[in-house]
Amino acid sequence: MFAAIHVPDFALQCVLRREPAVRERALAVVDDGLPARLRQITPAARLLGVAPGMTTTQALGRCSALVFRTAGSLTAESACLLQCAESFSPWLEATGEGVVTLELRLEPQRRGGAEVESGCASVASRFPQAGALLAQLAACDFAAQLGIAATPDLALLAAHCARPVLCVENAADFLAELPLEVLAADPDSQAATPAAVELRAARAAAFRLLQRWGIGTLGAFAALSREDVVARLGSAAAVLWDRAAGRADRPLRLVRVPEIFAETMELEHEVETLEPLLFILRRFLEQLAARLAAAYRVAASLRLRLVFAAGAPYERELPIPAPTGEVDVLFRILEAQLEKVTAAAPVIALELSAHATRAGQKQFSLFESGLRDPAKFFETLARLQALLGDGRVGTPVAENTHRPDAFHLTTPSFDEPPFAPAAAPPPGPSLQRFRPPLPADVQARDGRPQHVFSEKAFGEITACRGPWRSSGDWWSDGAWDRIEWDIALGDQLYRLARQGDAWFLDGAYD
Amino acid sequence: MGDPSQSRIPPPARRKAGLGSPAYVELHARSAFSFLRGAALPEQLAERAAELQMPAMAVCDRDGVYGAPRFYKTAREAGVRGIVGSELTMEDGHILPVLVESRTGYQNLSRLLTQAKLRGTKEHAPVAWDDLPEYAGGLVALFAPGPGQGTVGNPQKLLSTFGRDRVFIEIQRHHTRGEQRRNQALIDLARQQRLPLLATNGVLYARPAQREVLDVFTCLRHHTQLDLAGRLLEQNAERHLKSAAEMQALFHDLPEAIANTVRLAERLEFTLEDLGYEFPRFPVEPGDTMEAMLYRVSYEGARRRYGQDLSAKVRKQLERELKLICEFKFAGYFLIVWDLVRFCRAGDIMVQGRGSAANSVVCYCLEITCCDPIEYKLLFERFLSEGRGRRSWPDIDLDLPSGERRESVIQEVYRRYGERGAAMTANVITYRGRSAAREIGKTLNFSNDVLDRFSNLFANGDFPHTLGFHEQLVKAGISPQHPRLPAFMRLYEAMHGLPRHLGQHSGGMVICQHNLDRVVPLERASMPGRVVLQWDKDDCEDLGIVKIDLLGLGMMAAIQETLALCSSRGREVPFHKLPQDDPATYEMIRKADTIGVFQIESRAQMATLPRMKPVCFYDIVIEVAIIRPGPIRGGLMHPYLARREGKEPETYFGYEELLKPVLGRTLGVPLFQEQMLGMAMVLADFSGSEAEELRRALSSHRSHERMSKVQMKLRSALERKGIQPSAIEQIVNAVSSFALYGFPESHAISFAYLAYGSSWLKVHRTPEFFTALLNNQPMGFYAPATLIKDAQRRGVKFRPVCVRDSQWDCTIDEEGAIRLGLRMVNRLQREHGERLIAARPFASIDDVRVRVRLGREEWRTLAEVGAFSALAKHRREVLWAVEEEYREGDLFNTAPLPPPTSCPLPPMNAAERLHADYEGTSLTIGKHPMALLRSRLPDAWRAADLLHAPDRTRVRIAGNVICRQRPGTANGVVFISLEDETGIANAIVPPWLFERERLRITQESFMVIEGILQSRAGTLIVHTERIESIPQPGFAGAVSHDFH
Repeated sequence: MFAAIHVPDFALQCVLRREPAVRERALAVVDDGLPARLRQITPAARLLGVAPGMTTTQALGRCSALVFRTAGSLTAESACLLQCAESFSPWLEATGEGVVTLELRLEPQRRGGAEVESGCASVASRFPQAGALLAQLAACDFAAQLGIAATPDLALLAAHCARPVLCVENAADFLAELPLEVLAADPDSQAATPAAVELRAARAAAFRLLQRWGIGTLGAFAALSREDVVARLGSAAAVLWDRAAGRADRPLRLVRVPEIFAETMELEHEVETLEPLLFILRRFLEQLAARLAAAYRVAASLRLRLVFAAGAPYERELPIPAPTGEVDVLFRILEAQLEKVTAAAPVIALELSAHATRAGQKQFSLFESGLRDPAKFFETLARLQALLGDGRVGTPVAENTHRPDAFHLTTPSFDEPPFAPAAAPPPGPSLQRFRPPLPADVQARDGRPQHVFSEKAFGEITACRGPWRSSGDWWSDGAWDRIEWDIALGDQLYRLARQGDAWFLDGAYD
Repeated sequence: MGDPSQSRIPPPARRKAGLGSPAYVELHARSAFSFLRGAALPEQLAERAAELQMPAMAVCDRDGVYGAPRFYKTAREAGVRGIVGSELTMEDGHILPVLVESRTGYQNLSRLLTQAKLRGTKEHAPVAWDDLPEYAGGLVALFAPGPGQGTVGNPQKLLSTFGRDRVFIEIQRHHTRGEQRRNQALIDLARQQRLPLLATNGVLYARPAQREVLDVFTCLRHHTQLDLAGRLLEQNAERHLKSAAEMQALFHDLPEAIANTVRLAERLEFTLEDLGYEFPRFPVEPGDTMEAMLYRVSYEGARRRYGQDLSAKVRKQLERELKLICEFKFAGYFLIVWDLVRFCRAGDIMVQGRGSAANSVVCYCLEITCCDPIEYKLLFERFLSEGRGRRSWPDIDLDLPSGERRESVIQEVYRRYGERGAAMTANVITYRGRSAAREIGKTLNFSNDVLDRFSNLFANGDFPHTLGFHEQLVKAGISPQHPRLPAFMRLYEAMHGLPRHLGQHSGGMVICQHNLDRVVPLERASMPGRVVLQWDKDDCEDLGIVKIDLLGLGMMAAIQETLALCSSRGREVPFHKLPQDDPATYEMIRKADTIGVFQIESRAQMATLPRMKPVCFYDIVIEVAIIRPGPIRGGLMHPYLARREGKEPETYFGYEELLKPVLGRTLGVPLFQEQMLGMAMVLADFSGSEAEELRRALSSHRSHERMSKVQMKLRSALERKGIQPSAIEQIVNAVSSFALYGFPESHAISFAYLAYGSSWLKVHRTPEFFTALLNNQPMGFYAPATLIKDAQRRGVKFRPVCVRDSQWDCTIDEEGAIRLGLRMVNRLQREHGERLIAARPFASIDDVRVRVRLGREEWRTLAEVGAFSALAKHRREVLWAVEEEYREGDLFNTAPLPPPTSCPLPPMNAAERLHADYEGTSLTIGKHPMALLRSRLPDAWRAADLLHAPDRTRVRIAGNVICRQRPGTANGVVFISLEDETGIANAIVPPWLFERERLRITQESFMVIEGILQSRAGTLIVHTERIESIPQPGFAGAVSHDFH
């Protein structure tokens, strides 16, 4: 016996789960094609004449207030679905987007929760936990449908028709009146191998052709001879025919529940202070820690993402020096990180995920020179970062731009071989940069600097070369336009720069 | 610099530059005609050079001289000498800038570029080093390593090719770190080799602000975005055109490098003035001359046209024209066109001269045109007049049937003059509207979906004047606060009108006495067998290069096919001798029942016909001319119609006596260009050539300044003649507005012949006419679906596509019904269709399947559109059969194949058949889709029933949108035509409603319109107040003719 969980309009439900405030609005989830088309829509959008499959432009023609969203990655939500299902059966298949199939091998045991009033007396006997499963999914904000049948494919078809639970007793009667469209729910929709993609395309083509043949129901389809169907539509159609005739049976492609531990929330009310933010994060950590513990895992790193009402989001990967599942330890790391964070705009969404690992398992490769105590090193790094601020700790990497001194810092990695041949340095003396550049007062004649006065160096300029001009990023907030001079003050050479009306001493040459 | 009196730099520029002060000439600049490698128009470079008082300047576009004519023209007007050059991409990737010293040098450069372009591909056509010595004469080379080339290299190759006196070491300073090292190496090289240094700024744009456009172009060239382009972008904005003072300051340590720019510029004596173009001579017998031959053939033709005894009037006009033609040495041109027309006639290719050529009795006698200028009193000066200088060639455009026949004429020209003796003129495709916004959006990293929506708001070249650019961006979903919006808008403004790529003009051909590749570089067009030159038709005209327009007209192809069909059915039509007073034809035209006919089928024409009520041929001439932007914008259409209806008196700007002979036949309203010329001649005492100059200046879309000057001249002349100020204002306005867009009367007459002829054919040879229209798609204003419905309303029977009976083209059967051809089936390859035809007859579906090889989808489409109805009970029976694998019999077994299994599929119902028809052929010969939707729209009026509705009735109409138009002359009003099962209903949408419902209007294929019916003078139009979609009509409907 099999039970199929089907979350209708899964992508839409995921979007609404992340952003509950837009639940009542006319909203559509769009695909990433060109032109972009609507995948799933809210009832409010449907009422205004919008239909899935329309281009975004056509839809806007019918409803100018329509809101568009892309689903983004659904991995976390799919994992959540599997994790819910896992409580009821260890034999799980991730059948498709928003579809999980369970094999019910064991004698049903009550786990509490109300039975479902489905109008089908056999539900209670075949899967008494159906109500509990739906309740658990509802607690995770998923409105799901449940189909129970003797085969996985039949259960899936039942799930599509369930309101909210349907148990199939007589396959032939059940299938006969089902519309052909239910076959479009492809059990292989998640496999990404070339063969699977090809098979899926063949089935989609066969499905389209069946529609052109005027086949409206599974009964009409099953009434065709299987041999004739295969002779015309190829072997890919045989599977469809078997499903239509209720003859399809197959073992489940069992999956392990993925170790994705992430919690997301779009806030209805913006958060402006640290305290409520930490409160939410603590709750997230507790949930994550419980899930980690259930999987016998600890957190190797945390990833925090804060989205503000304006400006770029704040994203940080926080390595955990000694991987742990302890809420307090993890919370301290988060707290230390957030203490220094200031933002011009309030937080409107946040996401916290944990990268899981087994505790204390690491083996170096033969030529790898790892740190003696990585946990301690990363702890030091985290402290330094908290002390010095963002973007001030790490290994500098030059950026691909003409902007002077453009680089970013990356967290050092000790998993990779440490040395790569460095590019040859440019000829000439090297520049020791002052970071930040030192403000300078400069007297100039005909645009050429004559005297300079700054914290580190001052006096008459005895020699001067330049100017060198550079400008860029004119399309963004980070536009720059500067003029540089190399100057000699006595026997010391410096680089002097002018940006707007201000002068700076950029550095000294060796 | 030598003696200033000997200088080739124009004296005014020298004076401006300041006597005695050392000057600077920029000798290395790229314009936007280097396609994504330069950001300024040649005109902008020339104007900036003039502002900087630069005496001369060179533009060196990459691998061509694309921008040279525009640069030369603007520079000359601004007192700057335009020097020609080019950057050559060599086979090893080296970029070699060369400058033209003499005409020989120019010819060499042109031939060198042609050689490379014709040898290579359109994308990659480098110059071979081995070709260089042959073409190096008259060229000066600049030696400089390109950016990214690590070492300075060795100039020996250039020295041996060009000689020591024609190689310069080029040096540039852009205030970037590291350039000194490279420059020092160049200076050392120059000293070591004793070669002159030449300072240039490697100009890529006229002003610093244009650097932004160049950065965008760089991204487009590298298929990347600004955020990711990094060091590919310019380091600063220093590659703009700089003044002599700036360059002197920059090269203060190398004054000789600056002085050499002036010295070299002095040596580069060639300009495009000196092009050496010569139109080919017509071959004549020894002892004969082209002039004598032209006289001879013209008189022979005159006798054919007018009879043996030529009237004095004809003789006088012929003599006058021939004298002028021979005086201008245009005899060869006329003979060549005459010969081409003879070629067409011999090859059964319909041909008709259009445009102002029809004003010439010589053209009429040579059978180039078909309209008698003497009968219509046409003004010859509109075609050719004295005092127009050698650069203004007469313009003869030939209309030919589009398609294979026209192509055969073009190929004949290539055959006669050789691949390097003839070429199509180019068509410069520029960045504007959607293309600019899309490219900018891509580089600024806006999402494709947003850009797609932005483009949809433009709706097929729609006039965006009622929706500001900023508003349009916001409507597309770009926040007004988007940080990149200012850059987007800046770039949109700056990129608008810059060249994007070079296309091919629709018909303009240039031919040359000697090889054309000496005059302008030639290159391959995308279309096989075509060669295109690097300049567009305006450039050619500016440089005195004459072109012949060989234009394709779909209607001529359709008429020619109609006539052939009539002949084959024993219903011959003497098309050139049609009676011009046929009542049935005028009756149809007056009812605006003109779908499918030439010119007068458009929505705007159809709206005017019931008011115009044409009764004679000249009324059609006026109808063709009056629905044009010029007369409409000039406010001339309504006065004319009002006067015709007797609602307004005829007036002549207060000068009836003077103007009645000119404007009488158009009731005092100037509708034709000839009348405009006549007015200028009568009222302002302009000579014929001055009047034509006035028209040309007013039609010059490139120069507002030129237009203002001639307007001033006309105004002054009118004032001098004592014309009333109010009349002057009216006259100048009328003249200016339709000089831009109006027809010459002769052109209107030529088009009216086709309009009347096609109308006659529609009335009297209906099946043949519609058959030919269907076989020559795409053409005209309406899709085949609409044409078929129109024909059906006229009683024509149609038969579906049939594998047993259909030919590739549509045909007419014995009963006079039109059998749709296989060409109507979407996605059916012609070769496969002909294979099917060749394999006939067929005994069964299985027989077809065994003997004909088609693609799987082709079988399915044929089955679904009912093409097998002669062999099967219903469409799905075939759909069932064609899916089965081929069941080929044993080669040696003659026993019949076992019968296929019977079809278990249900037949299609009416809606399914309709859906299949539209999917497979984009049309149906069955019921109109609206017939099936009608029950869902009980309160909607049918188009045919609107006739019975009183004026000002509130109505709802519904249908398939077959036309959406927003003419530039309509102040933002949109016209929509909805087709239903009874005909076509028209509606107008006010601008405010269009803006509110813009996307619904442009996206929906079926809609309901509610509004107030205006029913006047037989014209029905609904003034829209509300628009609704028809949710899920279930079929796509006919293709709409939108915003053209």
